[in-house]
Amino acid sequence: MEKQRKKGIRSREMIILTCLFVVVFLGLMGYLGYYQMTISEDVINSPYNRRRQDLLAQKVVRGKIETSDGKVIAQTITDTSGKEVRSYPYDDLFAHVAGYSVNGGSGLEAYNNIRLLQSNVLFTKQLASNLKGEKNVGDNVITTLNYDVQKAAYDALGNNRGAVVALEPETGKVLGMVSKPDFNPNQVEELWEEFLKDDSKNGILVNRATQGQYPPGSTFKIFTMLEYLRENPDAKDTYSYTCKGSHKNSQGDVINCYHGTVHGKLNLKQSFTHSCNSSFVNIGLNIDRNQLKDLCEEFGFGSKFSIGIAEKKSTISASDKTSEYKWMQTVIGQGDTLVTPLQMALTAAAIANDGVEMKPYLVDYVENADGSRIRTFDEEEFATPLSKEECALLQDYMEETVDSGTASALSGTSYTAGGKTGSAEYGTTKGKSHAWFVGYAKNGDKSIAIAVIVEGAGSGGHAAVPVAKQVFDSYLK
Amino acid sequence: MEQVLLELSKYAILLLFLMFTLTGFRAIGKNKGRLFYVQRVFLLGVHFLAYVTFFIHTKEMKYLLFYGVQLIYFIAVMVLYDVFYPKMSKLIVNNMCMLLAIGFVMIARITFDRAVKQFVIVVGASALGLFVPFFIRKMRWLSKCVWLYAMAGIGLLAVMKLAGSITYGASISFRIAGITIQPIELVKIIFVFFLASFLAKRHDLKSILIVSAVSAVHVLLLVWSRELGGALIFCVVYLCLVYVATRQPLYFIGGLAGGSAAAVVAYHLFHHVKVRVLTWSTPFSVIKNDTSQISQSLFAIGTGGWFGMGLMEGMPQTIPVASEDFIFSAITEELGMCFSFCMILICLSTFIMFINIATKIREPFYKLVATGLGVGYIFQVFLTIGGGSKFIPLTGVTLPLVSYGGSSVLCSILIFQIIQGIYVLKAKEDKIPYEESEDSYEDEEGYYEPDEEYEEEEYDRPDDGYGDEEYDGGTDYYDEEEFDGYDEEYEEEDEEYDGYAGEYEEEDGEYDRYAREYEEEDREYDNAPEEIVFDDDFLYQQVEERERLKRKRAYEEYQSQKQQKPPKSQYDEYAAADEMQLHIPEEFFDD
Repeated sequence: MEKQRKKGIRSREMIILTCLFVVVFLGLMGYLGYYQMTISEDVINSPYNRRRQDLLAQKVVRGKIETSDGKVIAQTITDTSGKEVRSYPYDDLFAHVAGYSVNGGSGLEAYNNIRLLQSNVLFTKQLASNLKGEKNVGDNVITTLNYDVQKAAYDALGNNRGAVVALEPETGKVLGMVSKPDFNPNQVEELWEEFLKDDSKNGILVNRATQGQYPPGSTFKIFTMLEYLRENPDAKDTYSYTCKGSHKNSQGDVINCYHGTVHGKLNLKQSFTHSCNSSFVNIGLNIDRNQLKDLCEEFGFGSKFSIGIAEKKSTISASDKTSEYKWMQTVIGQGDTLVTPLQMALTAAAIANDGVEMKPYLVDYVENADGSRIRTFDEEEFATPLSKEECALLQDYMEETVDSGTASALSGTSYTAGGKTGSAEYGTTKGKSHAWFVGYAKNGDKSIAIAVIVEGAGSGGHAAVPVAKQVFDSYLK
Repeated sequence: MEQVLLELSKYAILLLFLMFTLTGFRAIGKNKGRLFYVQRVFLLGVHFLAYVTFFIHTKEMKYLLFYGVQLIYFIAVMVLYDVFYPKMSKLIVNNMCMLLAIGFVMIARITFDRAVKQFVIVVGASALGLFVPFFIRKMRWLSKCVWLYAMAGIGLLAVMKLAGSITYGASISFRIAGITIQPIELVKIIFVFFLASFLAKRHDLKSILIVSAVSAVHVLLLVWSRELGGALIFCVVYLCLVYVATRQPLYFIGGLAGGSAAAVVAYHLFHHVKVRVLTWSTPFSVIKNDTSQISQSLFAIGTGGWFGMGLMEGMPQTIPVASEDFIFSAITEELGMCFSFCMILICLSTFIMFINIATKIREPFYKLVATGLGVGYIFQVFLTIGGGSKFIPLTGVTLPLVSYGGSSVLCSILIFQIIQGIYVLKAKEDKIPYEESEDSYEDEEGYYEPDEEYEEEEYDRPDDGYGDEEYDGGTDYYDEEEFDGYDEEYEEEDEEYDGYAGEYEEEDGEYDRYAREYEEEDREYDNAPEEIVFDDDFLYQQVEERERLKRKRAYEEYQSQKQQKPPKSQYDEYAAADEMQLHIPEEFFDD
């Protein structure tokens, strides 16, 4: 007995040490396994890992990209000479969002490179094709895009420059994303030099929907009014302003209404629906600058949404140092503020979704070549920038804008629509403006949020609202 | 056809390697039988297929030639080591060869010329290593050069700092006559010898403070040289050895807490440390600078997946210092995570074997040497794999035996051989007749002993208590050593007593008497002579004599029990616990 006890003591410390190291190594191996199973895909998908991705491309037939309704956006086919080529059956239609896989890549093609180049078919099947010397077939990426929405937006924009982003407000799924001018991804390899020239002149390779930074114009009044309401909760009943076509501050700086229109006596709702600059300058001079900035940041200004393709941030500069004239411009959406169409579509989506802003995403799920799902991407909340009451009020005002205000081109439809137009002046030439429409539409349990910008097309009501209408019609018909 | 061959060999390599690993685990704690030879077949198979793959890809004869030379080397190592030291742990030899083979494959894959250079160093180191067990046996004075080790270690580190050239942020090497030497690898071994020789004899509070101070000098020199991985390894080895020697978990936990605090201070004090931590937490944000190492490493691991890209089909050359600090990532990229898991398990089984040896050895000095070298080895493996995969911040250490680096591979082979030497030493002392092995029944001294079930008890004490006079500066130590002598037996009291470390001084005398009484009883019980002079040979004679008597008594006891009522005795449980079959040759008692 005595002997046994001592024996135990003798090596106890070493056994403890050994166990400790075994546990540490089990942890390490657990981490390595976890890395390999879940983290690694996103890591090796990095554009910095291009070299190894190209290596995989030699062993795997690149998978397809499809819309949610089963239309093939991109696929790899073998041409008559037996060479593998990437084909985009709808030519320009999905140009920016789908992107291209050669010359550095862009869009979904670039951001899902690894997913398309990994084959998740059964191991035995892979082994068999390896032994036969055949390539494995890569996984397919199924997007959230809706063919009808995409087509309607594409056609509605016509030959104009601009962008359309359409989202499902409840989930953040991107239903359509169009940017113009565009290019034919089938010709990227052969016409690359010309594309580059055209790009430096017209920006055909830029996806304006996520990378275009525009002055928001009157659509920004959503934020200005919201801040004013937060500081003055009674304003919706008590606010009153008489518009004489312009507003002058104490230093003599003047802001005019669009086309110098005199709106007369206005309450808050009327100021919004008629988009009266003078009234909003009056409002803007009475709000806290930093708080307005914070409010915008809640909606996503200053951050990226990780939508899954290249994107730019929206920016607002607001501080106590901003000159008063600049501030007067800022509150009506001119000034230094720059927004992306994606940001504005998300703002509309948050209003349509009771204040909850969902994170936008483009890839719904990944399936292997045999059609079984490998990975599904779930909806995520981005933020909750609005209360239910604020939402109700904004919806009321935006629907009024459609019924009787600047967006009346959308009135008289079978569905409920709401929105805000904007005419954002750009450049130094007075009177040249981008047409904006930011809004949503609902029909039963189907809903859609949208941001439309038509460059240099004048007023939002005339140029942008009809684009939105065609998209709404196609989706909610 | 080629494609089929390549594909088949890719999976065959994995399969063979898996078999090697599993066989290795089956063989832990054994040192006999066919298993080890089967394992060697797997080893040579993996090696062969890897070089066949190289040849198919490149069609260059140099790979085949290099393969041939390596094959001769591996066979020579296995045969020579077997012949010279039949008692050597075959599992460790096999694991060493396997890790070296992986290294030869991967380094040749990345830069062929470096692999040749590495091979030459490995051949030299293995030849040197052949003599290490011999020296371990002959050089019994190794445990006495306490301060020599401390001075050599600190001296080398200081020289390294002063004369060192800057490599990847750490000044770890210097050049003599065109050869770059990294003294830190050698200092690792010397440091373990210092700790072991010191702690084997005394581990009271005062000694712990002394040993901590010396260790701190080592660590600070390393941090000053910006050699963070090395500093961490030294810290962990120090903590573990103090813990094993004192049996005080408090030292270990306190040390960990102190170490963490020091790490926080280092983070704020040294830019170098900060960069490492930031790189770890946000590897892709600063990809152009330091992080490109870790992100390339992560790309490589991720792209490799579970089964790897196949040898020559990945791009491990894009990882900076791929054949040194990131060899794990290079291996994972081309051979797959499954292969890497097996490799980790091989490293782990090697460590378990090391500790297994340490638990069996009686002399505290060798026990601590084996533990220290083992802990240093496995912790380095952890640092390099964890660092390369972003599990922990990167520290830039090599994977022993696998990574490219002359000093690293030389010292790793030395470490393996020192532990082998200790194992051989133990086997010689025990004179355990191994079952099934022909040479086990004849021994140089021509005398046989039964299995080791009997051998371990009560052995430490004479060493512990009496081994110190020559280096004992004053009487302070003496009391404490007495105390050590009795702590085996009275562990519980001991722990309680340690709780009052502060009051120790006052109770000293009384306690001392108490301790001495027990010691005397102890000796009577053992029938051992009262006086044991500090002289190695004499000591061992005494001890062997005593052991024999004890075994004889135990054997008689066993025999009588066996006659009364066969197995199921307490004694059998005891034997079973050791996983050794009881085997006592009758003729032993005839001499």
